[in-house]
Amino acid sequence: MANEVEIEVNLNESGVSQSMNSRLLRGCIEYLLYQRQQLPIPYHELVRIVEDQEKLCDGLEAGLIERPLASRRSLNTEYKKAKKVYEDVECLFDHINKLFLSTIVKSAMVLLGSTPVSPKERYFVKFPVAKEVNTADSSARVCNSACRKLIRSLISNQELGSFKDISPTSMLVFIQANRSSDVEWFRPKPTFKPPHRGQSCKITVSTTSCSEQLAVSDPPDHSMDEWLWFQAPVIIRGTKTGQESVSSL
Amino acid sequence: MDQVHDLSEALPLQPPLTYHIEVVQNPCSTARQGVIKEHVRKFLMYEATVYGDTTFTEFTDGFLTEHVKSVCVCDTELVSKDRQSNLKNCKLAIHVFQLHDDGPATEELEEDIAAANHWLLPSDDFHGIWESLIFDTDVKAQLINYAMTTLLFSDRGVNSNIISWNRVILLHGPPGTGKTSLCKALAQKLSIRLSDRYSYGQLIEINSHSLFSKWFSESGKLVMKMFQKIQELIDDKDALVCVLIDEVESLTAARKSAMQGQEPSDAIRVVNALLTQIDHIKRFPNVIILTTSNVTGAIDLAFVDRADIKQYIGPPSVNAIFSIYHSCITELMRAGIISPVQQILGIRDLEVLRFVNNDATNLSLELLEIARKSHGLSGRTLRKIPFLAHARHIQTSSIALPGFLSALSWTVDKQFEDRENLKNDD
Repeated sequence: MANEVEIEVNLNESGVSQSMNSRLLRGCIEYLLYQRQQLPIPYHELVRIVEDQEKLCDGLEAGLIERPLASRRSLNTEYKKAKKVYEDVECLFDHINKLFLSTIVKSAMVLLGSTPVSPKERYFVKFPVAKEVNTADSSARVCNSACRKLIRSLISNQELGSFKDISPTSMLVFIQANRSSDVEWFRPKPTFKPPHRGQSCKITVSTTSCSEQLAVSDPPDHSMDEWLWFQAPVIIRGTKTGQESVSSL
Repeated sequence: MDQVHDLSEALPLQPPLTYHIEVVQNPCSTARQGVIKEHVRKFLMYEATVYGDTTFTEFTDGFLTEHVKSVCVCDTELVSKDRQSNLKNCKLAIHVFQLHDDGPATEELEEDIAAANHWLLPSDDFHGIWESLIFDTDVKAQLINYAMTTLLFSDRGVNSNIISWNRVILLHGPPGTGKTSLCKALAQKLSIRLSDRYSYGQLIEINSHSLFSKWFSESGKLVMKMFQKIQELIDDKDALVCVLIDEVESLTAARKSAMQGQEPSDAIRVVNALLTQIDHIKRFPNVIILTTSNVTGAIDLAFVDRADIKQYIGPPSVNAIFSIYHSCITELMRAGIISPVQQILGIRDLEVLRFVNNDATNLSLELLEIARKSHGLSGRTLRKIPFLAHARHIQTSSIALPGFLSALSWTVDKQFEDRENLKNDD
């Protein structure tokens, strides 16, 4: 196995909330989509393009705007692919949000590669332990600043930057939650274990308040069996669609 | 009578038969396998006797309803010839698994070369293929036993220099007889049966044609690369890896004929690379190579020699054809296309009744007659005949069984007619 890149991020926030963890995971997925060549443009750009396009299409249907025929063709194939990514990611984010609100998520894993057993790259994100599910939600501002901190430490990491470029492939998202917790949508994969192939990166997120706590109250090993991996049933397929063609839409 | 009883007690005890129970766990269930096994065992002890292969999908136990999709007592005919199986006196091997519904993923060697399809087993795609395959000889039992012996030998550390086995199975025979399906089903079956040992199975279906490069002398290297990928999968000791090479003659074309000059020497290199790679991976206990071919004459002798099992899969016999039709009609009744539901007797029941024609058996005997007439058609053709019969002669949303049987009969005649016409064209 190639040596693992370890990144530790200290958020310096006093409280941990599930909504913050959720924001961090989503931020991480967005970052990986663009930085690991799965999308030709940053995800927020894609969102903007698709939303603009939808408005335009609504206008077209209503017969308000004339559209030149030439650009229709590019709209058909490339735009459809981009839109598929957009829909899948939105669906995933939606369920991640719901998931974090309903249960404690210990860690998450994002795999890039065709199957869960043969990934090219794996990203393991370990979240700080929230004391209980219903800790007061952090405000959006706090979440965003935490997310920015995480992304900054990812971007500024030398080793992570030296990962070889990869071609568009599938992105699989796994989360680790308790066996008894009420997880919907995500599928339990009791036989899944983190693969040892490809390049690997471990991101540990901690906060000032929990960093001391963690050392004391780290869950004892016999409960390991209680933690199951769950797989998101959507697979996000990267697209190579040229930057010009998508952004020219 | 008592004496007979005493006599049977005096006989040496037979080892208890082992029945395999396959339990499909719900995809969303997080229950532990051990707990499910206990519940299933209780449930089966209560049922006690089954006739032939039986699948249960409804349970009185609330736990089973919540967590289990189906419980299947399967391959009973491979265990004992007796139709009635009493589960109380037997050993039950209960296998609990969840189906992977991801579908195939493509493995790429270089940019844009999709060299192989890759499934995680047990897969939703292959569920039920094993049961749908009907053969006259005990091919299925043979293949399973072969795999079990292979495993046992590897486990006990039998020196492979003294007793040698290659982990290669070659199935050959005319097209449409179910060779490829059998390979896929076998991989699925093994991953279920061995789920205690290997946490998951994988099936890699190699696209033979994609291993030939447009660059001269590169093809051999592509084969090497492909096997390197496979090697990486084998390195995970927890995984059972089945490699399927369909139409293997395209990768192992006889080198002798290639030498005579019709083939570029690149093809020879591919064969050489494949042979050495097979020799290389046979050392690993968790791999099985499944191959199929239509044209055995074109396969290199060195490859044929490496295959441990060279099984001929021929066109189905009358009894097998009858079973195939029987399963088709059952399926159409389930879907409500043939209604009202009428019972068709199995071939064994007909034998017991000595093929006497009466009200209860006349439809079954008519089906047997159609089966006799269909002899010589391949399994693939047989499975589509009910479909063609509906398309050509029926076209209503439901039909009674007698009407369907006559449509079936006409369609079989038409098949043979079409075949004649194709021959006459030449």
